[in-house]
Amino acid sequence: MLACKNITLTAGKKRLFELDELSLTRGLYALVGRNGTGKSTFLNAILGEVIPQKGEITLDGRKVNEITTAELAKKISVVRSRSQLFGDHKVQDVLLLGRLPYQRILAKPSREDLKIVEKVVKDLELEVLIQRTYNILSDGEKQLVMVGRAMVQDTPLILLDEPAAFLDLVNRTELIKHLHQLSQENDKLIIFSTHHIEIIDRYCDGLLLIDQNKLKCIEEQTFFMNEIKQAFGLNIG
Amino acid sequence: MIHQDKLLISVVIIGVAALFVLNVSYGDVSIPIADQFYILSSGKAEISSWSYILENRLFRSITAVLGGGALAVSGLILQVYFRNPLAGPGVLGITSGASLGVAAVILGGFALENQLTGVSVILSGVIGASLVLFLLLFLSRFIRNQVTLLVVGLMIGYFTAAFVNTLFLWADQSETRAFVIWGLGSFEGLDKTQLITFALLVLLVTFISVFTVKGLNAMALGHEYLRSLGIRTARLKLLMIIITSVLAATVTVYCGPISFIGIAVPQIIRLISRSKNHAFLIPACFLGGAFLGISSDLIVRLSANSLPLNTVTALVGAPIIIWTIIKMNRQFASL
Repeated sequence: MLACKNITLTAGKKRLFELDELSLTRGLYALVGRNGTGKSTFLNAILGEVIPQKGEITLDGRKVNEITTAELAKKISVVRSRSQLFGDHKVQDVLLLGRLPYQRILAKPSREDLKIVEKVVKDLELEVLIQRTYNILSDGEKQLVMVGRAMVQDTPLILLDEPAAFLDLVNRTELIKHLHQLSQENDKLIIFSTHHIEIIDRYCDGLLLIDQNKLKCIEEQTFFMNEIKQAFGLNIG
Repeated sequence: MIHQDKLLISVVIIGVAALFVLNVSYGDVSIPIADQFYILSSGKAEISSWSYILENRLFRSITAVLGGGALAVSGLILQVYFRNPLAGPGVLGITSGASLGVAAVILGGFALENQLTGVSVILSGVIGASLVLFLLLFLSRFIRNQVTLLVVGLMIGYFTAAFVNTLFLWADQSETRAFVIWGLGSFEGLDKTQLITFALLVLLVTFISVFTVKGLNAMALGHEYLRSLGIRTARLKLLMIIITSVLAATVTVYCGPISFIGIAVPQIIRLISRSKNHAFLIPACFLGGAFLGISSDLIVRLSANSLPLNTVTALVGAPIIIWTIIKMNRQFASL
């Protein structure tokens, strides 16, 4: 579904990385690279918000920047690293926002919208949170709700920009487990950027590693740690 | 709609209607209710001065309802777009921008007759307001802090005020006086054509805001979520600029720079309404603004027109803003 060909990604004048070929259909992929190597820019390029200097990114054979915004919202959903809400929204309201692309001009939720929210609440076990105010939840709870919101949007591709950045070890593992389960059960492609390499080798189907201005995809789990250590010049254990 | 929100809307509607009736019927000259109905329905009166008095009261009441509503809707959209609970056409300097436009026309002598009817005044008000918005949008790229944006807005306000004062140098005394009185703010004094223009502009532009409902709902999550939620960002920004600047400028041109309604009403409505859908919040804010507008005008009239409108709105609005700042601080402290 997602395909990249001969990409050169830049930020201003700075050259970030090159990517010869990448084709992903389903599974959980971790995007790893040091600060400033272009992880967020890559995710934004998949969204069509940043246009690569060279090459093209396609979704189901169509260039992302040529897909209309309304259509794109039914293909890609996003979770950012730390989402603070404007307003005292209840968790229920936040989850319902995921249905916005399917609603008409007055954003009135349909019965189906409510049903989908209900299903996600059950899947992620959010029942206890549903009537609580989002902004006063803990970081771990917030991130789980945002993942829920992305699931409610019901897209084949989910992008997460450092979803685990502010989470403790336990919550981090929980989150990745949920993502893993989600990609398996619902046949989705999920890409998340992260600096927490200790959680990836058990649950991820692939590693997208940015190193020396190249992005390479490693799909053999046993190689993950070695590749990362080599790239970062670490010699631990 | 949720029960609590239905109750809120009903109470506000009844309140606006009651105050409207009171504002039309109450006054130094007491006109029997039966005569009031007769005059309003037939346009004729036993005592000819009665019809003038009643027309004056009716017009200023309509102006207060529409003007208050317009400012509140403008403030709501600004608060949500800038994700800042203290934003509003006044604090962000948008009203000042409109004032500068008006001043340029009145004081600069661009208008042949010194009246507030002309298209040129409305147009220059809108231009002034939207120029300030463009400047704010440009500057907001470099601003990460909510309070900084407000300080910048206030500074733009001072800057345009300085500009206006400079224009005073070239104006003659009567023009200056007209401008100073206008600057105090009042819902009074619109004639029939002015009222019709005012009402059409306010209602039309408020109606256009239905096209921002989905975008504003998505703004709860932030700008970086808009595209992935199917919102065209450029379109939303354009609508935001048009709606907020036209509404704020229209009210400013006809009623003067009125402070606090645009910031206090959306603040309260967002707080007490259960629904977070702007298909509900926009009309609710319009009604809330209408309520504050007409009650302020009633207080002005109870003081025998001696209190300026802006004094009354400040009495209500300023405490609400201080309370919001305290609440904001608590929220940031908990992060």
